[in-house]
Amino acid sequence: MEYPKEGVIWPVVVDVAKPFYEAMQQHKLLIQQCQSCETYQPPAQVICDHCGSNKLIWCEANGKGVIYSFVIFHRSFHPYYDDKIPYTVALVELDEGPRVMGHIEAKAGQDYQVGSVVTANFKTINKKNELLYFQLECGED
Amino acid sequence: MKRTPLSAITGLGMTELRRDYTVASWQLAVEAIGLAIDDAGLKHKDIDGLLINKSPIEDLSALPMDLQDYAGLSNLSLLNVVEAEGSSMVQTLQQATMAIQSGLAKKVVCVFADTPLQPGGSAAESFAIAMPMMGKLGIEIANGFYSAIAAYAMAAQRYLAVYGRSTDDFAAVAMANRQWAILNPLAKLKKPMTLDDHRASPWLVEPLRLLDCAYPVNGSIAVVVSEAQCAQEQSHPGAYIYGMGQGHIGNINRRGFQPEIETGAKIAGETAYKMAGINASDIDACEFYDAFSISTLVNLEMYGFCEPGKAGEFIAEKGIGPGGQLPVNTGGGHLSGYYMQGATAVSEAVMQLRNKAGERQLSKLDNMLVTGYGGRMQFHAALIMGQ
Repeated sequence: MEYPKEGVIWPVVVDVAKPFYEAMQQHKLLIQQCQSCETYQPPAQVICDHCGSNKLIWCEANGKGVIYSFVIFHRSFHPYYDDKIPYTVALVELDEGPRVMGHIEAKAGQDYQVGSVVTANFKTINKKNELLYFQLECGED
Repeated sequence: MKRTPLSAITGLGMTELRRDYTVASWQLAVEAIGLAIDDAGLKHKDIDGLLINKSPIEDLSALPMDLQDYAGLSNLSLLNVVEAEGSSMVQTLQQATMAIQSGLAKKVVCVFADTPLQPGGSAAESFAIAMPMMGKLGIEIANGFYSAIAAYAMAAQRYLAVYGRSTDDFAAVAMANRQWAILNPLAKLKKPMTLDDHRASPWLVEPLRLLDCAYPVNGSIAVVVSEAQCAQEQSHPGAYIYGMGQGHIGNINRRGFQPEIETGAKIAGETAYKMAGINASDIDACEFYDAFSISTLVNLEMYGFCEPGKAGEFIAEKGIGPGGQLPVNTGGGHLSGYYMQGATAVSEAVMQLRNKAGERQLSKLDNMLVTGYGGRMQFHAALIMGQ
């Protein structure tokens, strides 16, 4: 597997995940919900990881969550990130329960830790792609 | 203790472990297989099984089924490439043991080989490109969430936050490994390490530092697994297998689950202890897969040596280094010894059980826990071994 050396590397979107990526173009964060047991699922699955039902529907998350864990890259592993380190990538536990990954963008002076409240937002990576990131709650220092 | 072993490791073969590229993985594997067969006092024609542990960072062609022919093995009754990521080597030993128990085979070679150091490339690059492909949906790729280090850093940060610990716990693991490495002629990193050295080590992916990461080498390690009675004919104590287990808890990413720090090692350990008729308190020493310092903390907890979050206190009170109450990774492990994935723990266990570990030799080895894990501490396999 050779990655391109220039630009952001964008995943090959498999069919089951298309609704998730297409919704990001409209700045919407989609998760899934099981119609049998109502458990919310992180995208994108074909059966419920709680009851095994295949009756999953897509629904929009409210965009609020807390930092479950995060890491700070001090080393770049790809030329695209050479001028972007240090950058923070977090797993965010959404209000509905599923965890999704995104960058954390903190304003100067904003501190954050596991448990900090965040809100989903989107940024344009290139002409075709929007990427999820998270902002810290306003007023949090 | 009178017990019936399931099988024995009767041969160990190791190539030179190098920090530069010489030959391809399959060629290293051929050499290690030959050394293991010699060590077992056997000939190539005596071998009737071959189980191959291909590195997850290499293509399937690096260590294919054809290794049988390259290694001069014919008329086999068992042949497989076992793919269970970092748990593969321990799993090959389990499969060999099951084959011997069922009568499918009698003398099985299990082999690992890897060449992360490529001509013109760094080992870090080899491992950087391996991991993101596993990311759900590739969303990790889009986020620049590269490298195995990042996945373990995510677990490490969660660990620190949930249990209120500091990165000095990681240092305690790294320093113990280094103390063992100093006693091991095969180990690669032998400069004494202090807490200050660890604190000054540069972040790679915070909260993991350079000194929290495995030290990659090129090489190959092979063993011969035989019927237990074969070990009695050897001049050194036998390296017997008494119990085995696996645990794959599932990577459920939603509220109520934290697979990063509550792992399937618990299931693997409980199964293996039960099979061997022992408890964690009967274990004399551990050889863990420990590609990152954080994983030794989680392993101590999940394999039942202390409560979750208490590994740092356990290390401080009991000790896991030379002279400690629970010796762990007695050759320096992956951090200071050599990173041969699952074969590191197996090779050190065999040397210890045969009383061939020189300065670092342990005196009591009724029960040794030998483990492997793969992915993001997702896939676990364990052996209970003993003399």
